Amino acid sequence: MNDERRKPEADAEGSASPGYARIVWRNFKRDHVAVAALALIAVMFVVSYLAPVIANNKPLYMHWEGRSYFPAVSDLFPFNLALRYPELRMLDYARVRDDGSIRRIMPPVPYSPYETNLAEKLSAPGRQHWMGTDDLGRDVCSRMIHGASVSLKVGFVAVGIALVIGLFFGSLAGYYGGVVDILVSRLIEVVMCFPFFFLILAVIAFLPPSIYNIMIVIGITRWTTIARYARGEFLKIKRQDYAQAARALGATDPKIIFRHILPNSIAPVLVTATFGIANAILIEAALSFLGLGIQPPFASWGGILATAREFIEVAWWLATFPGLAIFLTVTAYNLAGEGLRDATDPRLALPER
Amino acid sequence: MLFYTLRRLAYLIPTLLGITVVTFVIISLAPGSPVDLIQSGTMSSGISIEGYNEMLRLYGLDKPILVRYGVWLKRLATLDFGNSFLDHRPVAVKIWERLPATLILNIVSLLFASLLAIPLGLYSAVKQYSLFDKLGGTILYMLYSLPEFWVAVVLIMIFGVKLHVLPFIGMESVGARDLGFFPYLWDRILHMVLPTICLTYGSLAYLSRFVRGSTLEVIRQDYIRTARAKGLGDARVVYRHVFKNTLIPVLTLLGILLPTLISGSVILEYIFSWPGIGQLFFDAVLSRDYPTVMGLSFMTAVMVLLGTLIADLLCAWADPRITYE
Amino acid sequence: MRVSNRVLVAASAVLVGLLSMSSCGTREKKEPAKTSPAGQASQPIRGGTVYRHLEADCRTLNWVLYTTAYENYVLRYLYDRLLDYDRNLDIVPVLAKDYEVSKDHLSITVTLRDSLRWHDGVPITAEDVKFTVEKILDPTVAAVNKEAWFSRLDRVEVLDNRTVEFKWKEPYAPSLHALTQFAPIPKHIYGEGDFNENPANRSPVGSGPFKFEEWRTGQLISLVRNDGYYGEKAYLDRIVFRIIPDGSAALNALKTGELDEMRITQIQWDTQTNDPDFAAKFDKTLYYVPQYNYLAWNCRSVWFKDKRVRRAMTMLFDRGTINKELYSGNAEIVTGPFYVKSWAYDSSIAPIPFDPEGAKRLLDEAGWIDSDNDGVRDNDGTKFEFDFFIISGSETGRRYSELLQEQCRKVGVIVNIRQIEGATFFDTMFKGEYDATALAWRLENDPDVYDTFHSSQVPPLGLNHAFYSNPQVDSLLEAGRVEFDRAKRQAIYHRVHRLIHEDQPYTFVNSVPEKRPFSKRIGNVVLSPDGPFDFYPGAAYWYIKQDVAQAVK
Repeated sequence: MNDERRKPEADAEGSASPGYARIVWRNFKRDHVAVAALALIAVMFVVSYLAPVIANNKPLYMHWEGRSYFPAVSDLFPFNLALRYPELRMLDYARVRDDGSIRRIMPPVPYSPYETNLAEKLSAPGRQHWMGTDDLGRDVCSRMIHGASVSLKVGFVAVGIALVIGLFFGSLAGYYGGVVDILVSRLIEVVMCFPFFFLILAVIAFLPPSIYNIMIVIGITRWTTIARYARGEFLKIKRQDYAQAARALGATDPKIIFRHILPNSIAPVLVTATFGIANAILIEAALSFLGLGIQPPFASWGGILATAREFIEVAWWLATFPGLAIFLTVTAYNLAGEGLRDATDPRLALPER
Repeated sequence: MLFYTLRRLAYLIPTLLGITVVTFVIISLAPGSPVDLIQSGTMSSGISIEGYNEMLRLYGLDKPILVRYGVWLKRLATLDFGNSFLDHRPVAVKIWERLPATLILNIVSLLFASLLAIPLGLYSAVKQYSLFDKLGGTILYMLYSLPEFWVAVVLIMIFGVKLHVLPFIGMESVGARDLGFFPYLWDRILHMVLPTICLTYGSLAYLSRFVRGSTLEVIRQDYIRTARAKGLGDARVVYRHVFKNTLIPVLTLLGILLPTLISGSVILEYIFSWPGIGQLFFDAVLSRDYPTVMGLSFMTAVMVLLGTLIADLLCAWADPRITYE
Repeated sequence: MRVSNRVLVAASAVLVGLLSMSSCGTREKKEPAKTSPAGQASQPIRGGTVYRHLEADCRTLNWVLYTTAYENYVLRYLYDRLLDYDRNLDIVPVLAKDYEVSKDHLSITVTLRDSLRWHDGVPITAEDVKFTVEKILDPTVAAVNKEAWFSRLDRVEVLDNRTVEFKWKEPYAPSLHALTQFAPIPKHIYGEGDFNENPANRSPVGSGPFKFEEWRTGQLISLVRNDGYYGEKAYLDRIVFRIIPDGSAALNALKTGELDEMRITQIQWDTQTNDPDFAAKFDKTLYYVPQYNYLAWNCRSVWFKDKRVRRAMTMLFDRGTINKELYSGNAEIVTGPFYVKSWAYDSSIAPIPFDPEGAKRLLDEAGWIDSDNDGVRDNDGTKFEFDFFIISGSETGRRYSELLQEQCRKVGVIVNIRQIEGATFFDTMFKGEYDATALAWRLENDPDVYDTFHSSQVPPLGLNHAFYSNPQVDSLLEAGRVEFDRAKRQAIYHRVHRLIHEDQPYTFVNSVPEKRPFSKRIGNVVLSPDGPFDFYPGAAYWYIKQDVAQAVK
């Protein structure tokens, strides 16, 4: 049993051992909770990508004045329907939706996230609006679905950036040591010393606040802990037997780093990374709370949550749904991450059953 | 070892310089000046062009960046952080009057988090994959995923407003100082409960998982297996060998967390009207109060550098496999 | 926004009549000696503490240097002015015993009362007055709030220990109003050392009915009654300002009795303050103050230099629905740059209605048509797509901009909303580097709007950040500044109103009343057309109704 989990050694030329990924996957599958979490994340990604056909005030299919159109579907692609069909230019889709005489098929949530309707503001969840409406009368469910992509992307991309930068510098410092180590360590310290909000505010002062800028800022401030862990691990591992052996056998530096040391050192880094993803999503919510997050009228879970504060006594749904969504997503990332960590750590053996 | 320490201390200086330069440049280049803001606060036409230029001169803002930085640096040599642009009070005083509020909250919260996290993590590791481990882990992750402002709002609603048992405004009730020593102390403690809970639950999750992780690593080590094989009881194994070896990485982590002690949480301070450093910093950046921003950044930088130095030293002392040339 | 004169005093009877008809009227509340629920008249007795709310900490309590409304709340109790407006907007002497305006309107001579003393016992003299003016005009002192009132002053002369003469260089209609914005500060305290760093900025010595007691940074500011006050002593022992930045937390504090009053939002008014418990403890009060919200269009930008386009934008902004939905009907749509309840405002001008079809026609007329069929209007190669700036954190700005954006989208105009944090925002504004924005003006009792609409007052010199230029308006504004006859002035400003309404450099949105619940235990809350604080004597004579205080606690 134990042998199954142990990673096969590299052969003499240091070429990739086939099936590493498959072995990790097999290990991962054993942890049911982690698998469920991963499945949830995957579902969320799919939903967020398909948002324009799930929640839109444009019909999926519409037969109008003798011709058939697929307005919602074309929203999936960067394709401006009005260019091709000028007669659709000034069409008020909201009226199309409400007009029973036109033959059309509406998406499951027939509201656009930007469509305001002051008369229906702050209405409770019901048949019309499954998750209620916000203070400008916009459908919350639609905004949640469109906002999903923001929250999911933010975590993933921000930490992705942090991982790449962190591992790069950490491995350099840990492996080569000496002057390289000194310089990189100083660099790490300089970046670490920057108070996070200061950087955010500074970035926002210079550039228009957008989801990309925020992701980048989170990424370039979070890589330091990853780098430190990586460096520590590299320092330890490069002295270990198998690394020394690979070196003696003539493997080049990059190969040693990537094939041998990195996979073994990745475990603590991954834990940090998964907490980082969760953290990034929470940071997005916090920034929206302070008004520095996603720009209106775009929807994000943090943004809805931020406006919910004012109305908490009268509109519980505004706080509950995004709160729940953030909660589920963050938990899912954390559980999946921990499962991944357990799966890749060759030292963590399953207990003898 | 000693040589290494001295060398690291020597490195502090160029690093600090580097940080201060970058911070200064960033804040100076950001559009908007404190003069604009003072004028805009009134939305009145107060100043003529000469007046505006005069104000710039008053604040020393008419000189080029390098000169301004040099001036700041020179004053720093005498530990003079200068005066805030907003109210002309010494930056050091402004920081000093808010530091205790932040410190006390962060220290207490960190203490609670550690005291709870260590046993939790240890037990989870020892009983890995048990119900306690899995359930506890899941609950902790769930806690961690709640945004802190959301939790704060909910707690205030339940305990502050509906049940009316805990206060949620500021550090003390008005007039509490006139009561005796013990009632005053009790009032202060009550005011700390809700903010501390909000600060603690997140780091509790992180810390306990970290302890669990590093304990697991230790447990797998050969010497533990040897101790077990020798027949030592579980408790003894855990305490003598596992715990002490786990403690080192935890201590290094706390070293890294040192700078967070003095960084306040802007959001929590806003919600609880807690007069801490976070608000000071946030306001200072927003109103381009350069002296205060520089003063706080410098302080934070020093704390971070000290913290990482301590953490690295502990790491090196504990793990003889890591050597430094 | 600044004005006038002795004629004001004469015309006050008319003013009172007009104002009492159109002012907050039906919801005016709180006369002294109101009968308590127990059915007996509450006589004011000395004692008690009132807890007021500050949304942000003050930066300074130096009367010359202050910039924010919060500081004004506190300073109002600490410093008395030479002259002030009373509850009917008549100018009355406060620290002055009397005053005299010269026939040529170039000088005003003010005589101080006898035996006036600062809080530390030192007598208040004409030297203090002169010193204060000098400080205001001192270029090394950032007296942004006050400088403009006195920048046209020629000199201040001390005639004797208690008499001061203000001389202006040329006739200036807002000159008397300027003196209502003036409070002397003690020369013996501020005369030495660095004015900006004087410790008295944190522990002020003033002339008003309350004295400074303590300032706990970030937490509270407390004042105690001045028993050496020249006039009738106040009733309250103490006033404590609690600093609570978060509106929701403050409302909770109000409900649990830790605050006696606060300003609440429309949402809070509609939904969170309607339970019987609240009604038993608080009087919900609603009153107008001199302010208005507006959308500004940069008249130098390619889209908004044509006034037809600006008019079209106004037609796309549904102020009626906003009024109904965002303010539950509690706001008044305004059409011009004056306080809607003042004599300068021409209420015969009707607001431009919400009319998207009309907007489309105007846009077509102005040359903005969709020539390439991409759904966005364009003109001569330029697309009708612009940036709308709002301050991050501004709820009003956010809502207005999102509503506008939607309506614009339907007619082929793209609005990009940009939330910008404060410092950057004002920097951009004062450089005029924006296309459109949503803001508000706080007004004075004098309707002189020279700084905001005269073409010479464009950034960075003045506040005309819409870059509005109309030579007719220019000459009218110049004339209004030197006209002392109320009726003639009114005619001038009515014309200004009409012209600006024609040109629409702003879309004037509305004037929103302040909403403040007051604890029922407070007596003698008086509302003027400027609100409950900004007049003489303001909130100085509040008292605690003992019997109600028991019932309410």
